[in-house]
Amino acid sequence: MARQVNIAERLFQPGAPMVRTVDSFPADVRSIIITFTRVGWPGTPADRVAKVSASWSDGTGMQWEFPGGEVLDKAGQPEPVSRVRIDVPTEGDGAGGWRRRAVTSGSISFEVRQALRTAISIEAVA
Amino acid sequence: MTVAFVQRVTGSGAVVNAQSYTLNGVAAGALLVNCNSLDGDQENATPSDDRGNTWNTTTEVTPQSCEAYINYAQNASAGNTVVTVDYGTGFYIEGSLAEFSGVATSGALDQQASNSNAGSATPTSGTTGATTEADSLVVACLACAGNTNDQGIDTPAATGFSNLHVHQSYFDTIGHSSDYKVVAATGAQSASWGTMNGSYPWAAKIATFKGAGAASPVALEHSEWPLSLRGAHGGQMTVSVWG
Repeated sequence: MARQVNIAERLFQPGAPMVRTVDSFPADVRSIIITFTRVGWPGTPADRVAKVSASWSDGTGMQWEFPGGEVLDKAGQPEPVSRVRIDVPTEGDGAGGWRRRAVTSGSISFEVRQALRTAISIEAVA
Repeated sequence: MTVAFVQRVTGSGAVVNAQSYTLNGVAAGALLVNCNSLDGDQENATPSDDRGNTWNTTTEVTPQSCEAYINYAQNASAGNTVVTVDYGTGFYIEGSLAEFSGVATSGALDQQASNSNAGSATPTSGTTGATTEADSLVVACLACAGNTNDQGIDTPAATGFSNLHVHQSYFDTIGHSSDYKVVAATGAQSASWGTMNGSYPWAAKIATFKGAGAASPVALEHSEWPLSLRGAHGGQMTVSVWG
């Protein structure tokens, strides 16, 4: 069952990143999905106006940089969100297969390089 | 030394300008393989990392509203490693970064092939030339731009693969499968992903990597002193005893 945390839209200023820990997700969590609304973001699509880092307790993780300005979606319409997903890491089981790593928590850091408004949702998907 | 899967991290980005993967505790000499599926006709870009590893791309597939890329770094440096791919502005990506052990630390890429189709339900990678090493790693990557949230990609790829990462929806990012297997005999390699739920545009890539090989067997050259031990690949050690 998915568990979701919502952060209401507000203005983020460059400086110290916003950090959230995720330590109460379901034991069978498969992924964490983070969605940012991006209406009215500053700059142009070539600018990298924000960055999000997501890491598990074992140190594995992923990072993304987000474009500014208006980006068109696959249908040619302004894309209202940027969305990223990180899956629970896996490792070899020593017998030719693999197993899910026993991660116990995760950490998400969001940092902006230009002031922007966004709402954020963090969803743990089992 | 046997080729083996060690670890992987997988994920996606929608409307991003760069995506980075972090693997913890990569072993010295490992092979890192990065498989990416992208929406649209994105030119491949060589990944970079924070350990100074040299990244290589494989040849590009003819795009079909999507692209499948396999990139690799051989003889990796030890330690936590952040690998970044950058395909321009506001792209959609599904991908995996995996670490393998037991792969050759130089000249690891052996064979590769690719295939794509503007509308087909049966994605296949194409068939490589015969691998030159018996012990090899085979990696395959599929991208699918079928406009649905359930493309029906069959995973793991056939035959004998293990799945690294699969994503079945085009609505949020792009359909994707990355798969690997370890083989113990030379021969041509291919991957297929069954019959999907419809005829969709897809692009697929397959690459094989040479195993590091077993320690050379030694043979006693003659039975008198000094003993000379000669390896199968030409190495030689002479043992003398003074008393």
